[in-house]
Amino acid sequence: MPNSGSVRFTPAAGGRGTEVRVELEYTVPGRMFGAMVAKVFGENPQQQICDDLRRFKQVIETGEIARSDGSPQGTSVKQQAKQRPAQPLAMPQVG
Amino acid sequence: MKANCWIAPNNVAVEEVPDPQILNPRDAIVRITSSAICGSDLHLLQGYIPAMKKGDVLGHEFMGEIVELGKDVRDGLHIGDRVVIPFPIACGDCSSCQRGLYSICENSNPNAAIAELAMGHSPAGVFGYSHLMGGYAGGQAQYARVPFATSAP
Ligand SMILES: [Zn+2]
Ligand SMILES: [Zn+2]
Repeated sequence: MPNSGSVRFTPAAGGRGTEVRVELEYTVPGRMFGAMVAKVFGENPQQQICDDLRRFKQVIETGEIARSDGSPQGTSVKQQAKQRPAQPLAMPQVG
Repeated sequence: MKANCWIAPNNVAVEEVPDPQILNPRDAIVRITSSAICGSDLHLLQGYIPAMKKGDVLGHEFMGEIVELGKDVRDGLHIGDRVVIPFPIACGDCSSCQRGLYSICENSNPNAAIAELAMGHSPAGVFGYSHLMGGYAGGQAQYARVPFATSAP
């Protein structure tokens, strides 16, 4: 997927931390249809960037990615669509 | 272990499920000695809270004894300590947690995006309280995994 972009860090107003702004320009293969397919399968770049930013904030602030029994992989729009039941995993999945 | 699982509206059952394990360095595993059935469990039971799945372990108010600790839990907590677990899962590090607003911790709900879609703002992760609150197994069970054990509010 051809793309270009920037990541900017600026101090947030009122001493409320740091604002991270990601700008990404990309061309989706298959245009409208491609974009639709991507969205259905959680491969939409917008969703992926939002997930990445959330996980980035978690790692920077807490040192780990929040994992639950329903979302053992942590924040991911893809996984939100197909949650496992909120009961412990037989084998810990890390990744 | 045995756990009380949500099956469908107005249907819960005690089932055999895997024992919880440490997934993150700040986790603790607690052997549960007492667990409450809360009035707000009725909303789950009766099917008023969306995003429940068959097999979800219920229970958000529980206490017990620490049996296992993640590798980054150093100060304050020890195996054998008797602890009370607050139901909001809170990282202790984000700006909300640092202002004492643990119920809107910005980092503990891995499903924050769907909660934002549904409610406009995501709450913290909560034990045994639907996938909108993170999909965490609850404490009406013999054991529970407690994330961010070092910063329980
Ligand atoms: Zn309650
Ligand atoms: Zn927090």
